[in-house]
Amino acid sequence: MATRTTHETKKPTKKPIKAHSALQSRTQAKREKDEERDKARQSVTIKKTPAQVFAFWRNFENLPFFMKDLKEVTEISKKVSHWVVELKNGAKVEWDAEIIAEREDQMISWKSIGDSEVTQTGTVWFTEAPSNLGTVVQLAMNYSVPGGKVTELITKLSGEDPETLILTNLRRLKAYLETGEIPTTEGQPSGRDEDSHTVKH
Amino acid sequence: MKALTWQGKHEISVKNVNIPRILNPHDAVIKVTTAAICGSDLHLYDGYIPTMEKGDIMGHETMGEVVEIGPKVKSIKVGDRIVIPFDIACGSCHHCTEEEFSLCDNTNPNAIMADKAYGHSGAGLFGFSHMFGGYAGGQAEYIRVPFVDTNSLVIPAGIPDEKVLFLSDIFPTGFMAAENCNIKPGDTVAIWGAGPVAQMAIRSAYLLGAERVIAIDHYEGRLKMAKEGGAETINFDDADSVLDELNFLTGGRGPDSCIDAVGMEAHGHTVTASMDRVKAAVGLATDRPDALRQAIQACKKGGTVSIPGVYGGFLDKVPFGAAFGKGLTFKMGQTHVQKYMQPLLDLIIGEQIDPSFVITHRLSIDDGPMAYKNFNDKKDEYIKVIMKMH
Repeated sequence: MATRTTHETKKPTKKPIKAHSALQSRTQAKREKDEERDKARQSVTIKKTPAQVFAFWRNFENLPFFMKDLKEVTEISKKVSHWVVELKNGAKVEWDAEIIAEREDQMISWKSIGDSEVTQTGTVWFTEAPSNLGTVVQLAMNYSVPGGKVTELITKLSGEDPETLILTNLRRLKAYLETGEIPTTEGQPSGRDEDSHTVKH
Repeated sequence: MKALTWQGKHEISVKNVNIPRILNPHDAVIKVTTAAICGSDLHLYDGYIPTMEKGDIMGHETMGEVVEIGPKVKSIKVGDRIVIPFDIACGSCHHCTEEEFSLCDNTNPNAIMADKAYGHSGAGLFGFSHMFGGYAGGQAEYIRVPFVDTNSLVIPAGIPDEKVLFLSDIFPTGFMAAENCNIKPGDTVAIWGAGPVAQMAIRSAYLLGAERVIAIDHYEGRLKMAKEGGAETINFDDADSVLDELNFLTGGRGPDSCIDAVGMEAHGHTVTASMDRVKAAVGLATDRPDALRQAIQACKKGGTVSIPGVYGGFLDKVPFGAAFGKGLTFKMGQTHVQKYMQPLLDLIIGEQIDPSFVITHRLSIDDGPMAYKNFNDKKDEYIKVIMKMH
């Protein structure tokens, strides 16, 4: 796992979006060792103001609303929260995360602390989008996948690779903030229903 | 409840399945009164659309009565009689506020699949494969409609289902196809295919001021219906060359705009069409775009090619050089049904058009499997099938 402490240190403070341009990330890639690059970077545009999206995200207890892998997040203090992921077999993976940097309505950066199988760092930036499109949300994450429980977590729980899961979660956030619900088809009828039977061919 | 389900290529069964329930706060459950089979359902029937699953409930041309609403539904009430658009829109995202409803950002829970295939995902669709959300369709006794305030048009009492059912898809689709042609007075519009969407496009083109419409097909029954709508017709089985014929009819200029109302399963007899069938069969190409090729070749310099016909994948031997060389404009995509439903209902109420002219068969839900087979195999006779669901 990379020991990088914060994305903040690498980023110019004035225009956080520019630091994530493709060009800059290529030059960064040349400079940095592989393990120091963000493992996952995803972005969506949400039709709400940066202040609205920031406020929703900053309350970490809201995260399980749209992060389908997360079971529960509890705030321990203003900076520290406890995260719980439940696997399909009922086993739980838990860790504490600490906010290591934040600027109101602009960015939040956190990392896992203490002794857990899961180590992750994440930074999310909120920037006003052009043409009244709302807010550009950019999420960069590093995490360790040491095998065992966490690998199981990622493959069993979602059937998706972590990068895909992160994008799916951001889309769910967008849908929830824009519409007030997360679209689903789970629970709808189909010819696969257990008690379905053929009436006619 | 009874539902028409996809069981695999060329196999539709009536199954007894669970009645849908409210899953989200903006949902409604509709008791379906009438549903139709669409030409694009045949792409599923023929196994041309990937990500279908055995047991999926078919259908996206549907109307009925609201029997249950979620806690956040605002304008729709229990008892309302509504037509349901085939594309599912959230009503809140950027694209919905721009009236690009079929490009909705939020309604496809499987958007990640379409992201990978297309770069970005469009809206969820009823009864149309899991890449577009896998929403249970409306060829069933009941259907759940998400965001029902956006995805509905309330029909005033006294208008029969037959007159308004096609506001769910083919009338707006034909109308948008004609509107995309940017028709100017004196224009000639050529339409490949004389199926139900083309029939609506013929009449819409005249409503929008076209001087001439030319329909191209090889089913006499469909060409006869096109003639009744005022179109000149070309039977491509009889014509030596459709392109020569169109040039002759248009003083060598070509039609001002060309509509491909056929899509991915064109039936042409050209060499490329035969090669398409072989390539599709062995997986070298996914779609058979022979109508599109002709439309591009035929179109006037600076003209518009409008494509309501459905494409899903990769096209082979598309004459892009011709498109570039003639400076053509292309307009295409799934219809933004919600944008067109009310103005087109007004045309129906004003008796400027009665879309029920296209119906050739009135059946029941139990006839569904037979209806699919006949609609697929006897295109001359079966132009549009509607089914009573209750």
